[in-house]
Amino acid sequence: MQLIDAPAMDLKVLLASNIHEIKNLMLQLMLRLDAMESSQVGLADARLLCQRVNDRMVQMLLLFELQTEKLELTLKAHSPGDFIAEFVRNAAILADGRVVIEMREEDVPGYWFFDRDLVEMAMLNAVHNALRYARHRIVIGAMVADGALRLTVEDDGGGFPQRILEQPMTTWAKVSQGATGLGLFFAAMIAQAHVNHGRSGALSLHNKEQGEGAVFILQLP
Amino acid sequence: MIDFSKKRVLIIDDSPAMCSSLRMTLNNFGISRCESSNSANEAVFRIRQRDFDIIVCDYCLGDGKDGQQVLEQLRRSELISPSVVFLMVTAERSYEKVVSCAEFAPDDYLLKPFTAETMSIRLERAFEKKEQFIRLYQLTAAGKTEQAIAECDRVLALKSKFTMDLMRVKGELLIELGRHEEARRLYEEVVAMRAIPWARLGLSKTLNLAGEPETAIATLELLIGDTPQYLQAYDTLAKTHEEHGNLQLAQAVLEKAVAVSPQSLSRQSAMGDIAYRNGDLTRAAQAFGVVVEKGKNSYFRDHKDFVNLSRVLLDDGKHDAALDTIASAKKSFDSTPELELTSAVMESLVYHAADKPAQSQQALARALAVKAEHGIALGDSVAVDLAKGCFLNGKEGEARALIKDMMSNFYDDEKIQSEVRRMLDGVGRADESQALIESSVNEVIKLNNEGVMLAKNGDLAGSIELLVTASRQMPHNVQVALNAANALIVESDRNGWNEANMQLASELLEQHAAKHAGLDKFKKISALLKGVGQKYGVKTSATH
Repeated sequence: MQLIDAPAMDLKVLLASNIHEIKNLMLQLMLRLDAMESSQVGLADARLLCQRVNDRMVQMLLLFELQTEKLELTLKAHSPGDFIAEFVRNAAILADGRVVIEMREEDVPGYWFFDRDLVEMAMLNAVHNALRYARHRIVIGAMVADGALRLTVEDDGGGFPQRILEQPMTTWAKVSQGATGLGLFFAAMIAQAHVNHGRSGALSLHNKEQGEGAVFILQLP
Repeated sequence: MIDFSKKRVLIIDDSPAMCSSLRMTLNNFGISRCESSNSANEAVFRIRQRDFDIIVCDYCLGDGKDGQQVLEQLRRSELISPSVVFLMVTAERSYEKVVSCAEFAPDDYLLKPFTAETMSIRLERAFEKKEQFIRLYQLTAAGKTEQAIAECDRVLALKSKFTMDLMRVKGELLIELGRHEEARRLYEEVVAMRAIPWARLGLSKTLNLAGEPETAIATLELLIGDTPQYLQAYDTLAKTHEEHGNLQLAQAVLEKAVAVSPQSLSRQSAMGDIAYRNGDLTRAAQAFGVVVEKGKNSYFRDHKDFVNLSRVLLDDGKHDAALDTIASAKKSFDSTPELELTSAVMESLVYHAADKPAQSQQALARALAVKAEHGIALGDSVAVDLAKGCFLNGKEGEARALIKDMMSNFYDDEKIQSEVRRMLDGVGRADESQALIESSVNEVIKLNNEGVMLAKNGDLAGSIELLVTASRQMPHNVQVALNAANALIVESDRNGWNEANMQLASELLEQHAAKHAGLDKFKKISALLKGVGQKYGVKTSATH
């Protein structure tokens, strides 16, 4: 798939919608903090709201960057095991016992070349989505298959909306798809930018059978 | 799990609020010994006072200083030991780009905002890595390069997540020992996986060492094209041009590097040096001026910067400015014999140029008195300056002795030879230069031959004494070192293992390995060292 020209997106509209989203999140956060004084509302929800505000900000920064330059990776060798362990430990704090966070590692090599910051951004967005929708369990995994590192986030929530799964990636960044769409759009873009010996990475999304949860897979060759 | 409670931490951040937030987080990890600094200079001051185990530093420190500069200064000057964990905190994703092209990378960096959990994970990981590398650090610090490479191989065999870091260190160690063919294969292996900047840079170095400068230069130019922020690539390219006599090209390359990073004072200083040698006095004065000006409040300033600036100003006929610069050096630094000597030499030269012979004589006498009293080993530029001062003030004998001393040491160093030639030219003694340089070189050859002769005639002890003494007097002379090593090894071969002698021999070889491991004679003597070691069943650290 061809990379999309970022300036072709309607920046103003995207930014405005993102800021609205942030204001909504901030409102929820403030109300929750107020409620915390009087009742036994947990910290975990407030934490997740902070994280989601940050996800939006990071997306906006990337949107700005893409106005002037194309996405450039800084590849370095990182341990995939260490990399996903970090999401697992952070997710466990955000889940606060409400859902179980599992780590699945299969035949993972000691190191793999990728842009840690960008892949982290893509993964965080996926993990935070999973935390919102999961009922009991989230599995964060790493494995090597077919010469590519596969980083996965699986939940047992309602799954991705059909419109996301059916439409091509190019339309995800449309405002109508909401913040989830923009996050997925960037994840796909980041995966695609990882090119190794002529092969580029990809994002693949699917739902488990009978609507038993979403599966997010980043493939990095 | 790592016990954080005993760790001592320094937080460097220009925002006191951020310092206190970070301190609170670290307290929660059980760290109670936590100090903070709001500026780079204060941080360096604290680091000189006491040792820290962890340094957490914000990238953006205000005042035009950034955390990367602090890190590089600390690591380069060895103010912090390799076992200290340095964590950079940054708001910008672009920092990854800085790190991938930096000579010194932090142990890790944290992208703002981050959770306490992430910070704790990263600290744990950093210590885990230190544990894996501790033996390697110790060996490298002790100069045991051969053993350090063996240690790299040992850890590499574990196929851990640190493979790439180890390959990087191993490549540098191999080059240090002159084993550039092996280093080249290592870099090629990495580049075949991914075109990582450090591997491409390493590859270009090995190409140059293998006598393929054109390919090396082409590789470096491509590398700079792909990663224009990779300053070390410019440095290496400039050095390669310089080595092959293209000083103008070297200056042009450095000019680009300075444009990318005007903050780096060591590069400004290199710029000044090359511009001066190219006779571009305006540019040289500008570059050295930046070094002196920007270095003013830094712990890492050096009086040599002032001397360099003063020399350029003198050549440019700006006598008052040259004297002012020296005066300001004297004001800015604590007085040491070295500073006293260098400033007196420079004053003598300026006074002479300003037609004040009495003052020039006086200053020179002061310089010579300090030299005689303290027996300071002179840097090459200062030695040339001093010789010049002697010539100008009618002390030809001293001048010639100084030049002879330099030449016997650096007989194969083009840069110093041309510096000496230019100086002799400048004092109207161009006719002497050939003779002076040649006779010095001849003296070395004669001494060398004497040593070899003694050995041939069976007086090994005499030969060793002569050659070892000579190699101490002219530590940069590879021929003398090789002959000395040879005599030492032969002695053990004939009369039984002599630990001290064999140790000295392998030290002599190691000192010259980087530059001369390719010489046939070097290889032969290395092989001899190994052979004699095997004969007596002793493991030697021969370099081949």
